[in-house]
Amino acid sequence: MQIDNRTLYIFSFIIFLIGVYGAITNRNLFKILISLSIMETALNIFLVSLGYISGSKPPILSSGMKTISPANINISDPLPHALVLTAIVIGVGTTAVGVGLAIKLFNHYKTLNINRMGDKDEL
Amino acid sequence: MIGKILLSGVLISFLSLFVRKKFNYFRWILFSIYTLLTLFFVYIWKNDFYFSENYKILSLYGLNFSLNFKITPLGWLFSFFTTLLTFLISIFSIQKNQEEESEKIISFFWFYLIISNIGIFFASDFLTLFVFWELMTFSSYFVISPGWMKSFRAVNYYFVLSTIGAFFMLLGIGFLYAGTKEFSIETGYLYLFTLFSKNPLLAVLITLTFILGFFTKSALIPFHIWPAQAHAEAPDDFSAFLSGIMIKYGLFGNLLFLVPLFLLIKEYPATQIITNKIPLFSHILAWVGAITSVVATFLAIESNDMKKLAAYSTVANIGYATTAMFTLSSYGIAGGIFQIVTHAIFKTAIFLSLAAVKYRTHEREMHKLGGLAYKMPVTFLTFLLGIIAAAGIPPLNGYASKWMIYQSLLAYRFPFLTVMIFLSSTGAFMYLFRALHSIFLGQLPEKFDDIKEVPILMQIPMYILMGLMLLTGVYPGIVLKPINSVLQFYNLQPLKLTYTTMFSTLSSVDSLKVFLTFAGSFAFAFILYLLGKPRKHVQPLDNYTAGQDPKEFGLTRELYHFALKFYEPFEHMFDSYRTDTKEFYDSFERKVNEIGKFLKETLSGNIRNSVYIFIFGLVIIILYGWLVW
Amino acid sequence: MNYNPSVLLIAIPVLSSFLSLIFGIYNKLLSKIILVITVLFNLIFGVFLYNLISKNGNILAVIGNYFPPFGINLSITYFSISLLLLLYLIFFVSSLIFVVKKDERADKISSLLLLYLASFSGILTTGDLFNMFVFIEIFSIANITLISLKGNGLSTKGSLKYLIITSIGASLFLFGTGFLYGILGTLNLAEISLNFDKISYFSKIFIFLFFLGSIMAELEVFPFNFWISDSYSGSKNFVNILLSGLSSMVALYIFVRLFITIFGLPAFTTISYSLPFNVKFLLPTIFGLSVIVNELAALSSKNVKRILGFSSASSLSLILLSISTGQKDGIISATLIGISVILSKPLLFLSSHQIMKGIKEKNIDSFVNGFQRNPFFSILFIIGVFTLIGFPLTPSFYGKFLLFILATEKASYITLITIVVIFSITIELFYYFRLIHKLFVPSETKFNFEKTKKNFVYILSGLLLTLIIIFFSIKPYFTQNIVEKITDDVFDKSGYIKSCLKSGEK
Repeated sequence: MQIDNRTLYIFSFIIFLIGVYGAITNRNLFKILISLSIMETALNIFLVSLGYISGSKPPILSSGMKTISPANINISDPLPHALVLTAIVIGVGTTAVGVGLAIKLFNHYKTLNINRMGDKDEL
Repeated sequence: MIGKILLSGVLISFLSLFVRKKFNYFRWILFSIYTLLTLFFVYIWKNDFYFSENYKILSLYGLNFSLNFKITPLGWLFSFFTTLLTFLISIFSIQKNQEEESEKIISFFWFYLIISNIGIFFASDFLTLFVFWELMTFSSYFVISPGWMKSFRAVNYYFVLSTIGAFFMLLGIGFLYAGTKEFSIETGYLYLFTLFSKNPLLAVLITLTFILGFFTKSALIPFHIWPAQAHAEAPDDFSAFLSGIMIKYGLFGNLLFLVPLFLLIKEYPATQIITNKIPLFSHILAWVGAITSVVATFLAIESNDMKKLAAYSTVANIGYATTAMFTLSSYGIAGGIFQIVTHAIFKTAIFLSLAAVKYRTHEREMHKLGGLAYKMPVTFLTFLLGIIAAAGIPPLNGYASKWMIYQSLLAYRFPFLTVMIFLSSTGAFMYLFRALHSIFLGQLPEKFDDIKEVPILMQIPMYILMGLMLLTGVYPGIVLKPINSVLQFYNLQPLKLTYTTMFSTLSSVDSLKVFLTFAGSFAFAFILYLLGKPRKHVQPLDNYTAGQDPKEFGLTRELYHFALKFYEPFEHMFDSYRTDTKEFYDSFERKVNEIGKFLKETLSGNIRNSVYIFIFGLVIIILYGWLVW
Repeated sequence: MNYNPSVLLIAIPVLSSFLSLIFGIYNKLLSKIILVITVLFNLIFGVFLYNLISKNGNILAVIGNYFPPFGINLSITYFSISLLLLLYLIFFVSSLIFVVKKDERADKISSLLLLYLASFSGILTTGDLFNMFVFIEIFSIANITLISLKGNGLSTKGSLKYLIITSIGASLFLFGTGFLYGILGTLNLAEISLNFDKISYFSKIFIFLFFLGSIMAELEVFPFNFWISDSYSGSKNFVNILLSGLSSMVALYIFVRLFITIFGLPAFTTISYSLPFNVKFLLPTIFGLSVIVNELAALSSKNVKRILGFSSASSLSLILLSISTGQKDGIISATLIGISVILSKPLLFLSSHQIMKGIKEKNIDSFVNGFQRNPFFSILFIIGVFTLIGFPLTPSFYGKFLLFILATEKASYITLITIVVIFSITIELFYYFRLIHKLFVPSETKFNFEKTKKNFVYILSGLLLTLIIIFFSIKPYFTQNIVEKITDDVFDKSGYIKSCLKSGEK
């Protein structure tokens, strides 16, 4: 089955919106962090799909190919893949920091419900 | 020379910081010496009119930042009298500040007030004027409230109104600069005059910004509440400076910029509505002055705090001067300036005598005082002459200036304004007499039995001020001759006068004759007093009680002293007309604070709010992009 | 010109970040020493690069011999290096303050600080959009961790807010990057700049909105400024200095670089029309509103750090406002105000921290009698306030004056906004004078405070900042020279392209 690029874009955008929805509606801190991760995933899909050309091959030199010229081959752009790798690493880092903070907050307030994390007392 | 004087002021102010608290009178002597020095040089400059001094400081970012000074007749007149009075106040301060807390801060910042005093009066362009104006605002903040919590609220009224005024002034300067590409005052009003025919809306806007800038400083309606706060809570000797000198800066601004502008319009009246031969704008401002004087008079009648009373009296006097100068006749302008000078003198005298009372009694509420006349005769006499001058009774100087104002108003047919001024002038009798009675006459409270007259160093300026009041009252020509050169500066007809005689279009008065008449009648009464039978001296209390001991009735001396709620029936008459301006400002402040609190709490609420706000902001931005696209 | 060693500005901090972790196992002192040495190296190397750029023009560092538009490259212009030097200075002050403090986690924190140093050096020097994203992410992670260092509820909450907002922001940034890559097929800033006009109308709007939305949060602009409230008041003093003087300025750099040099903002009517829809009204409105909101929030705050935090947000918005007036004078005034904010805000945080030392509650009442307790830092505080509000001769005086002249030049929408905003600055005057007034109030109760020891570093760094402020004030022509060079550089789109791409000229 061949997937159109546009389908991928819309798909990633929908996932992004799901992430935003989660970040808004959830009360649990962990769920918010997970929503943020979902947003990042959507982004990664978007980036990967940027380099994808419908019906193309992976950008690997196979044995039959001596030279690469735009006229005769049909491979997808490798650069976004590399970018996505970096983005994933960074996303993991951010999530890790966020989880660390969440644990700290849980120890402090004994709850993960963000509505109950006191505000007035510290103003 | 002007620049050197200002610079030396800065140096001496830092020098004064090194004086130890123990020898603090050195600090104040230094202050007096600097004032005297300034006075000396200002006096010398009386022959150097139109001498200008330019300091090109920087030429940056396409703008020329320079300080330009020019000795104009107007500036000289103002600076001479203000410096003279500052010198007198500074002599008073030497003694007064010996036990004052935080007097170091007061003296340090007061230096800058003297500096900005000179700077403002001799500024020849807007940039210089504005720089010194701001210096004055900032430094007076710390003199009015040198780390005192009690005067903190008062100083905020003053400071917020002043900064808003200064901001509006800067706005006007900016608009003028956009039109003329220079900061000169003269080009400014010429340009504004032409703008009235080209772009009337913008011209009115610019004029309004300047009016706001100057009127906030000189406390005209609706900004008339800050003097009652700031003058009352400031250090006592500084109140004299505030009321005698600093409140005049706004009027000086009017004379510097608005009056020449309106004179131009009056001369070429094609561009503006003219009522009663003066521009409508000017007419309205004259009315603002008159209304201010009436309102302030009523407020003064109501106040029980003696410094507040004197502060409201100041506002009323500022009102007369404003009214007079915006009638734009040469008599009106001369009368306005004369009123400014005389008011500076007698109000300094009044405030110094009040400071002397407070120095000894530490009381400001009038009903807690009384009967001090015998205990503090010099203070009493100063205050007496001061209120006689303030009420406009001959032969003191207040009479001369008020006479000029009435004459000009009547001669140029402003009957209703005359009635307003007359009303508030009559009201002045009420509160001035009340102050005299409550503080110096009546019964002396027991706790003040062993009170003494203030030290000699504080008496000297009071003697000099009494002399000045008499001198300018009997010889008004001393002030009016320089005023004539101011009128020439405006291209107006100079007044006809001699040293003792003032002429107006309607009549003339010889103040020396008036003085001699008064002096003669006093002498006659004194001779009668000497010729009469020998009298027995009776205690004031015996007068009240017909010789009985009040303690038998369980009464004290204080209870005999009728001072609290002196004009209560009179006040009730105006109950339904009263609008509380202070309440208005207070509620404004509360509203601003509430908005701020709401914002702060929303912003620093829990994480949930944050996410909401964030998404909301994003949506707004995206929607905007969507709509525009 | 090509000067590849300029990569060391980033490489050395990253290296020493790891080194300080490793050496920290043996001795915490070693990692502190590494921190200071690295900062000093960056400072000195920065000065060297500054001279180089002043002489020879923009520097291009090519990595791996891939010449732009391929590969990763650094492109350092006058604007970035001069801002970088100022920021290094603030960082130096902050790290000195950190170094003298005893901390169990000294090795980790110094490693974090070095990461922070590397990341903002990277943001300011990089010539590649994705690289910029990576550095921004590292920067915000370092920031988050630094804010949460204090470990109490407030700081953790503040850092979590910051995390949420920056990660959404970074997502948007990446979206924008992806969009650009999808359309233009390049990530090189110069190449993007060269071809930006070819992008369709619709896509330009999207890209603009993505980048704007991503950068707002770090710019402390309303309504994205809620994190500052907790972050400033909950974090340590040296973090405060970093946040106020440095983090926001880095975001400002991104804003200026992306929207003016690279994209060419349409508000800058004289420069470029590449974005055809009208942001003339959008940006001034947002920034003006932001100034007012921040000032009001600061007015009603009681906590001194919070007041200073909101105030720094409002000065940042003022800078942005003057940028969005879209004229050269606006940028000049923004630069001038920016210089004074960078220098004065750390001074204010530092001195207020010292004034309040030994008093438990850090609200405005703890300023009472400050002058008696600590005259030196009170004077520094007053100098800082006067620098910030624009006392004559300080850079921000010229900046605000220019902004005013600019606004009144022609009656327009920007005039209205600017007037309202400058009006709201009187609020700033009000609350700063309130604080100064509190310094002189004699205290009724005797505070038990110990004579502060170990504040030698505070005195040193306070003096350093003050001296630099005074230097900028008494050498106005020098300042003008720098400021005008920076402004020219910001506007010099073709110069930027030319220095990066050999075939840059159209």
